[in-house]
Amino acid sequence: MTSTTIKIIKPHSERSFADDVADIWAHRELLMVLVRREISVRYRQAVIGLLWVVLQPLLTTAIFTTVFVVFVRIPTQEKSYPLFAFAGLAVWQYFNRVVTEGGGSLLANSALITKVSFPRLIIPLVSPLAAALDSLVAISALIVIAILVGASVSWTIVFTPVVIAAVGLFGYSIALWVAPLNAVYRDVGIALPSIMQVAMYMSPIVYPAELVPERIRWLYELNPIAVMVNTMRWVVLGTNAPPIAGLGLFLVLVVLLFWGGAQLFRRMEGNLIDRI
Amino acid sequence: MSKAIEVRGVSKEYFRGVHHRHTRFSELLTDWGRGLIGGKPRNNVARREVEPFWALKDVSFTIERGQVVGIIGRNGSGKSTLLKIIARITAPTTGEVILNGRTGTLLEVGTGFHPELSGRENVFLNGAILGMSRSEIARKFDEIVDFSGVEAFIDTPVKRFSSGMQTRLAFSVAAHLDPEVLIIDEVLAVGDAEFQKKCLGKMKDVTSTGRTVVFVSHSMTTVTSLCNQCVFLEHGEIRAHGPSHKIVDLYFSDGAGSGPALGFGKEAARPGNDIVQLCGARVVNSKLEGVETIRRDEIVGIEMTFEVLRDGHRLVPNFHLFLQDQYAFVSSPPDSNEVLGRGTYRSRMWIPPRFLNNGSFVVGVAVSSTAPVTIHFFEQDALRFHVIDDLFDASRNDYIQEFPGVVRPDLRWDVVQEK
Repeated sequence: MTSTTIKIIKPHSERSFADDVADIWAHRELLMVLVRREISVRYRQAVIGLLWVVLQPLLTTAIFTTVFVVFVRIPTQEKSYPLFAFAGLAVWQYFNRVVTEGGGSLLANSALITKVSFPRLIIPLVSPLAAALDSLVAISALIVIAILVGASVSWTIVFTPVVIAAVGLFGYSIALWVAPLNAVYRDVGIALPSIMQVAMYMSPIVYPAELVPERIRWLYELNPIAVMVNTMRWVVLGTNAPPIAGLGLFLVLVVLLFWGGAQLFRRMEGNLIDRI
Repeated sequence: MSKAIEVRGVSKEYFRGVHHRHTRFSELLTDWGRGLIGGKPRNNVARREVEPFWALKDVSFTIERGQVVGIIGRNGSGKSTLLKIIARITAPTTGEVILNGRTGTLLEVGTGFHPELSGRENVFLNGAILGMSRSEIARKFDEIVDFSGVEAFIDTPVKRFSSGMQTRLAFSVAAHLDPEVLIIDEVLAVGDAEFQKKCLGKMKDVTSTGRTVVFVSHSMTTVTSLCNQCVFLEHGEIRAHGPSHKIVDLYFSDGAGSGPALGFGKEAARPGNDIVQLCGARVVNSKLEGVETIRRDEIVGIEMTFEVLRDGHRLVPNFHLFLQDQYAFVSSPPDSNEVLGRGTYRSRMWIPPRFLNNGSFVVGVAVSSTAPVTIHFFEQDALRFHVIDDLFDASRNDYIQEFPGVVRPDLRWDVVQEK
């Protein structure tokens, strides 16, 4: 920071988006500190620490494998259902955490935002960044397991960070809507877990898209969550690429959600602490 | 001198009752729905009787660089709102504030402290939250830890700290914040007395280094000890802005039935009887100037003028002092055996310095006779004056909290070693 800075505090409606972006940049160090706090607190006092990042989707994969492969006997495109499910769950768990934690972040940090001034847009940005590490570890574990069980791993795995970033950005865009609304209307936070559960079962995370009737499958595959999950499977496991239309729609949706979310967030943040 | 803070026509509107048109999400949804089908939103506002009110109304003032300014006011006067706006926590409804220089705010000690993290990690976390850069914290780290006195536990999670230790560490970080403009809430009211003293000392250092400080407080003692200027807010507006002692006078005299002086112009209105009547009374300093607020180490005089209408009575003027309904003492001239003839008299009582405790004293003014006991007049709440203290006074022995009691005389003490 420079030694002479002039700051003008204006009514919130008079602030420009450029002001906010510059403000976030000026506070990048704080963002990193908050991300580091999130990461180091999460597995503090947990004996096996970061191993949980891998164990969680692994356990869930085991459950779904038992249910779908042993009991229900669903047909899968892949030879290995566990790899298929693990990839889906790793992506889903990251997305779910970004939306849920990001969406609850303003409320969870109300002690901070009522006492210290910094751009509020930073707050829901902490979860996507902190959880990205977990996500990267989980996907790396997936790759290792895939190699161990002899599945073919495509060169496209170099794109996994890009996919993780896209998932994080999508989650952040949604969190921008959820966080301020949730701070004022608690209904949002209460409804969110149910909505996320519906979204999970409406997407090919633990079961393959082939189970969906062919008539509506095209629609089903446009679902942005399906696109994210299938893209991850595509880059890591070399399964079928998601439809171009789905990718295009995903991009449009991210842009719209991000833009709209940023507008809403900025409109609400000015007087948020008076209403929280 | 250049301006450090410029507050220009700042107003802030709040809604009493509910905060917004929609408090429940369902209302928001149904109104959206109504909007979609072309209907009009239900008027939730009227139904709930929301009354907007202005917590701040067109507040403007300027703080010059290097000034130490106290913001005072009673509960609900808008001082917290003003602080939140200057600290950029909430936005003004209209108007603007210009901050010139690197600004640090301290509304709470230990904001963002995480119980699972070690003391060391929390120093960096809290420092970053308060706006320090990582290298700046690293540079001051030893100093911070040293000041806090918790070196031995610096790598222990702060959840294992006592609350006192947490506060010490947190304040140490805050105390090493080094901005050009510092905005502080009453964070001093934390920690044990010894540490409070340390903090106040640090505050005094900060205020004497030419930095601009804005300080919100309820404690007039703290304000007069630290600030040279005061902004007095009342009902969201500036009541007065100026040198601390003048503003504190005004603050104290506000709402009180009586002031530092009392005068009766017309004879008919005077308290008293056909023997003696009260003409006036006032509180004075050593130069015989009427005052309302006086430092504890100054002499204070209380005087009354009365007119004797009939000869031949032994009249004893007396003053009764009260501190918050506690009877402090009554005093009369020690040898008032003289019979006073007709005429106007002025009697003055001198209270030595360092005798009264600090606080707002109420004076009852009376003239009576002893044989037979007669009270000619007794004005109960005739005068009011304030004794203020210096927190850094040696007699406090570094104790910075309130002393109990109505008087606090300097007495002679002998402390000798017997064995």
